[in-house]
Amino acid sequence: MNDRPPKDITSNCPLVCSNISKSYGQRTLFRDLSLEIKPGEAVALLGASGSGKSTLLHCLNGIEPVDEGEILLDGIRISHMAPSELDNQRKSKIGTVFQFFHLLPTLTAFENIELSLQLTGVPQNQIAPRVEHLMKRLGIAERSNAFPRDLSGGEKQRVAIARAVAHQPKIILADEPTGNLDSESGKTALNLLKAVCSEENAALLMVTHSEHDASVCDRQLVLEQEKIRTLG
Amino acid sequence: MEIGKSNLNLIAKLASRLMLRHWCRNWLKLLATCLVVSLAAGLYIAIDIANKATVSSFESFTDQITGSSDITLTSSSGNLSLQDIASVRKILINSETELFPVFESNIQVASPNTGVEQLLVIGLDFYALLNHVGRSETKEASSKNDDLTSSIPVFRETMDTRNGFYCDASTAASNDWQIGQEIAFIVNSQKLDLKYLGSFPTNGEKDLSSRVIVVDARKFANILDQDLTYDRLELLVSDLDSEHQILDILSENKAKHWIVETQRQRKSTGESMTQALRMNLRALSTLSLIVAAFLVFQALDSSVVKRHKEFAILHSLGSPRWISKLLWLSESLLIGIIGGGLGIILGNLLGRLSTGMVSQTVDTLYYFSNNSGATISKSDLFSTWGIVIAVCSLAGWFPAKLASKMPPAQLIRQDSKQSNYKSHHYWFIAATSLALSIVGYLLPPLKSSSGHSIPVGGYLLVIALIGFFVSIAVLCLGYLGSSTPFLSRFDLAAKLGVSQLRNPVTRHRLALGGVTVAVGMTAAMIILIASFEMTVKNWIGNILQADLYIRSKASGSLHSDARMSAKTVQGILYDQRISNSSTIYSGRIRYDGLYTTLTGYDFKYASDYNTLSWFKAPMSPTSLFTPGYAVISESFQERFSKSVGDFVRLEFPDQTAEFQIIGVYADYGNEQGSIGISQESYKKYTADNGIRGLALHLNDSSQIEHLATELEEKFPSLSVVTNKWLREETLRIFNSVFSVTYALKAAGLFISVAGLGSMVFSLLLERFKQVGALRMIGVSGNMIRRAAIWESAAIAAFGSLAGILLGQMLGLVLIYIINKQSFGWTLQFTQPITQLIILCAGIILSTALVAYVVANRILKQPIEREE
Amino acid sequence: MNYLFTLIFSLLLLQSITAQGASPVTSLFDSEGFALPESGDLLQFPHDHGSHPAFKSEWWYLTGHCKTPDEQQTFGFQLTFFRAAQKNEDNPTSFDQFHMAHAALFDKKTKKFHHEERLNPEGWNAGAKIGELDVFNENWFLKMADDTSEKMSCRFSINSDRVFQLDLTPLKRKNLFGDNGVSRKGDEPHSKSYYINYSRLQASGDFQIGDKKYQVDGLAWMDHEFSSSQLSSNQIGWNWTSLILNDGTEIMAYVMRRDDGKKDKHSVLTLIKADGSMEKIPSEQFDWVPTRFWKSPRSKGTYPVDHKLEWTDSNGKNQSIRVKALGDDQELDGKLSGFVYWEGACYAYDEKGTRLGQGYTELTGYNSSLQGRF
Repeated sequence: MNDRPPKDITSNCPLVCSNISKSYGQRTLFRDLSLEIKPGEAVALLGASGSGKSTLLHCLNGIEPVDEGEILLDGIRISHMAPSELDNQRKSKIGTVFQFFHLLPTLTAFENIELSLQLTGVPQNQIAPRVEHLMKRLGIAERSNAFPRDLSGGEKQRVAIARAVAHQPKIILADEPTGNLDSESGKTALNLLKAVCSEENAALLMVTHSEHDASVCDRQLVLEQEKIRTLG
Repeated sequence: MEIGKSNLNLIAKLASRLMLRHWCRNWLKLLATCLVVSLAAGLYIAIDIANKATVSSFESFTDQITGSSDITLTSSSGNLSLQDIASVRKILINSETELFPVFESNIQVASPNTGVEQLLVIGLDFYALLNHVGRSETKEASSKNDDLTSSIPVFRETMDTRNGFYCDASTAASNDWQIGQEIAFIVNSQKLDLKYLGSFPTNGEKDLSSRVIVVDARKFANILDQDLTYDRLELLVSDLDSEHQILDILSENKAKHWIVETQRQRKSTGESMTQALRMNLRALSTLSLIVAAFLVFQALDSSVVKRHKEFAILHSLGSPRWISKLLWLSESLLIGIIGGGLGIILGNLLGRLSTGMVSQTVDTLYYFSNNSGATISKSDLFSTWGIVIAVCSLAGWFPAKLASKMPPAQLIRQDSKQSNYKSHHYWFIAATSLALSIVGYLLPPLKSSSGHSIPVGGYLLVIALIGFFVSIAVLCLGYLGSSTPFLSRFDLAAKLGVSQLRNPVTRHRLALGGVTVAVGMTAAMIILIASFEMTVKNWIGNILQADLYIRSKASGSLHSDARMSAKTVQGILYDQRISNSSTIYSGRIRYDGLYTTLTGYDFKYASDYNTLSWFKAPMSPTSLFTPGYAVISESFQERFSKSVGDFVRLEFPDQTAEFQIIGVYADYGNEQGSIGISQESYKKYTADNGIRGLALHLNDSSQIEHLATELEEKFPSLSVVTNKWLREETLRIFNSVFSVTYALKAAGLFISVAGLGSMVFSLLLERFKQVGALRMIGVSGNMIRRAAIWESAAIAAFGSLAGILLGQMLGLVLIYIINKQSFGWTLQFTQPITQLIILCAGIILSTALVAYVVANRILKQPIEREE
Repeated sequence: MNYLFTLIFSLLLLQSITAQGASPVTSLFDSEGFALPESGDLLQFPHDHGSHPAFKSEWWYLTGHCKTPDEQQTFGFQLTFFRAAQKNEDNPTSFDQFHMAHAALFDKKTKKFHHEERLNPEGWNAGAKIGELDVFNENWFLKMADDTSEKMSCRFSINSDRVFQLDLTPLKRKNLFGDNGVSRKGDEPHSKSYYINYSRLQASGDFQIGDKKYQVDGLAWMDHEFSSSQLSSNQIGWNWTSLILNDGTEIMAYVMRRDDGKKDKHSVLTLIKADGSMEKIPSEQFDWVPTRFWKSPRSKGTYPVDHKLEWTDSNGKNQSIRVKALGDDQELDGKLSGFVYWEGACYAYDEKGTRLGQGYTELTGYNSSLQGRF
């Protein structure tokens, strides 16, 4: 059973996908899947390992193409967009948080965060205040000049979160954001992620295999047997 | 026994599952590394072949006819007369030693079909050869107990042809000569017709070298209407005599002007003529091997670093560390074996090209070289292969050793991008290099058998400077990374690219080292060549002041002995348009057993026009005209350790003469050195009245071209050139001489750029996940390409800067130490700014292009999923 | 007029030939300008031991037998130096000299025949002095060491393998065959040669093969002839033999063979007695009877390698000697010069088979006519 939102609120949604399907060879990951994320909504996507959650995330990000269906990012169809235009859409409207952080090791924490602002062409004089604000908000202000190799796992994830929200995207895609953290750090990071998303008015779609982590979200979906359904 | 057996099993399993699978997956990288090694090895072998061909081409022509001679007899001045030959015959009449007198001269095809005009004519005593062949055939038939087909009937049929010559089939074919056809040639200042008789009959299946014709010496001298003399007498010592015995007999009875040399000594004389050239070529080719070693080191280091985790796990599981080392060694060995093996094939293919290029240089400067080339012996090939394997093994050994020393946990934790090498390693290298450079500067040169000095200190200084500059550059590399914020203002991609250098890995350092060395050596050569060119240009401007220069058309090179007769010169000089003239006399002589040049100067002309550039001018200009005085060139001074005030004793056929040195002049046309005496003395002592060249000054410069044309029509065997043409031709010869150097420079640069490309490829591949992440956060493919370009171009630019600085130092060393000690020449230091800028720009642009291509390839791969 | 012309021409030639050192002085020349032997007591020594370049052909011929003291090595040897004059291509009034030399060795133990031919123009590698015996071809030489004793020395080698160095001491005074040394060979005016001979020489010296050296001793025969076209137009070659007999006498016999197969009347057998006096047996009084033939597989010439000499001596007594070759294949192949002939070591026997002495036989013109060559 698919979760289909009412048609009249579709145009405001940061992310809408309709009847999307994806297969790898003989194996179908999902079929005829429809999904809608409302503005500011936090949605968790659960599923067993190998169910295709991360692949779905990549499709929603435009990194991987879908076989069928349509994806609208902030009302703009991205499913068959040219790569250069897709890059523009992605960098301005999506923020990504990875399980393994993926910070650039040769940039400081500050520089990692400012990168997403620079990518979207924010004037230089506006970048520093924004970065400082986020770093303070996430409790890593004193680690501004540290390189990733000098940060703990939790600190790295907070830098990653800051980078993801810095350019005020419409939606944050988080792929197992606590997967590489201990339970305490993971809990802190998760709470911060949700809070910052809420403050920045960004929707959140979080892929996780932990029901506990999923519980902090407004809605929980599960991907199984090629279909998506709502939990609870 | 059990333990040994189980280890063998373990090694075999690990080798197949870890190493072999890895090589199959990364076959392209392995192949690329092997190809770079093969290129370097190929160049090394090609230069080796060219060097061997150079040495073997020294008078090997008669070997093809009579077999290798055991002893050679030459005159210290001029040629051997018939009287000399007859004397030797008499002295050795109680021995079984065979005598073969030989003369060689340049000869020009009057109307060539192909571009090949210059040939070498070898004059032999055909009857001496006939008798030799008769004996040889009888011996051969007797040993094989068989009546073999004799070549004598064919030889007898043609050998008495009055104006006949033999040559190989390819020379005849390229000139479209038919047997029996008469061909017009130019020898000295005469035109003559010679009849083509076919291939040399007694050679059997072996043909003569190309560009060589063989005539009977007596008949040839007859046709030219000149006295028969010979360049040398070759002696074949039979089994019944001993070489030692014959040498003793000759030594007891020899005339003062005879020089008796064994084959080994003769070969060494020939080798000595080209020693400097060959050493320089060997140095350059070794350099390419060193640069390739950099690449191998870099490639293997990246492999070691990348695969730390595999081996960390092995160590954690208890696998002995020596097995890990052995497995790493197998990879470097494999690269050495494959690269070296491919290098042998490539080297043999390139050998022909390199031989041609080196032959061109040798032809121009030293002697007529046999262009058929030499092959490299199997033992030399295998030893080169061994060197390549050793170099590659060494390249892989150190990284493997370091990796195997680290404990497993640390290995696992270690970021794969961290470098194995700490800064104190580089400080140590820098300090050691600095110390060695001081030692090198102070070390005096070694004297070689050629009389030239071997600048061992200079070479050490070069290596030390390279070590110093490279290590300092590497130590400063981190500062380049700190320019990230500044460069980011211009392009965000710079932030992604240049920031990588804040924490440079070994690959960055090695790539930087490769670029620094390649640019440094190239810049040094550019400076040396530019300095040489400037010096030679100024020197030419001084010595070439006449309007027209005339010489025999058969003079194609600096060592040519083609002459004009006094009668011919007289026929030219009667022209009223000529206001002044000067004749040039010179010939090759032996002094202290080494070849040098004796020149008969028209000192009046030289004084009037100031054509001699003095380093030490005579105290009194009139002393130049005094018999018993001589002036020497810088090279002579250096080579024979003579200076003003010293005496030089020269042995001539009829007498010994002693000259006191009163001045030292510049002569950049001849590294063997030259000694100048007055023309009167020259003619008196050498009995050589043949004029090498004639310089003419005209009353009216507008008549230059007219007179030149008229003279060429009137004297078709003469070459008449203008001052302008001769200057350009001199520089053309100069450039052709350096052709091999240019080729090797280009190869070195190519290898360094390839190294940079390899670095970018392996780094980007390693950062593949990072690249994927960047794509996901919105970094475009273009930006990633630009980031790669920034990263490589930054290294290329920094390396170029370091290389230019290194090049300046090396240039000074080459000019003031190595060149000065090797050749005795003083050069004017010149800085060719434009060329250096072009070099740097070229390196940076080509690196950028390579980085673009590599990045493009990486980007085409699908982004990895973390699941 | 013709006489005047001939005189002037002769004088001119004489001048040019004299300039080349012709001796004996002769006023006879053939149509090509080569000097011809003239009768009379004209030979002078030691001068005429030397070269006579005005004559077309000349040879110094040495044959002999020698052995080591233990007789383990025994040989027959031949050493001949030839000089041939040719008109110069560019200047017909002058002559170019060419020097051919033959050395041969017959090993009596192994029955192997070794020989070498050399051919060189006059110059640094070959020559013959005028006025003294000193002739060389590369590293072979023959020269007179002492004019008074007329002792000579020679050196030759064969293919650089076998080297002989011999001292030659005349055991008898030299002979001048013919009329005071002018030996007529045919009817035509030019068919004669100057013929100087040493019929018995002590030959001693060294023989080297490989690194082994031996002393050798034996007897030798030497001829020196010079002429210009000594063969008549109807002659194709000659058979010649020299024998050194154990009784202290020597025999020299030659048959000039005509193109009709007959013996020319100028063939001669000469007996040299122990005291050195000579007895000449004219052609009609002696016979050369071939007794065995050998055909060369190379030249296809059929040589009468064994023969019998029969003559009637001055006492009217019939004499005969059988001459047998020590080996059949003693043909010199002439691969450089084209001059092919048979020169073989032989022994002389009486009718009972008793060995009387040793010698050499020379057979020419069996492969092709020598007409025009000598």
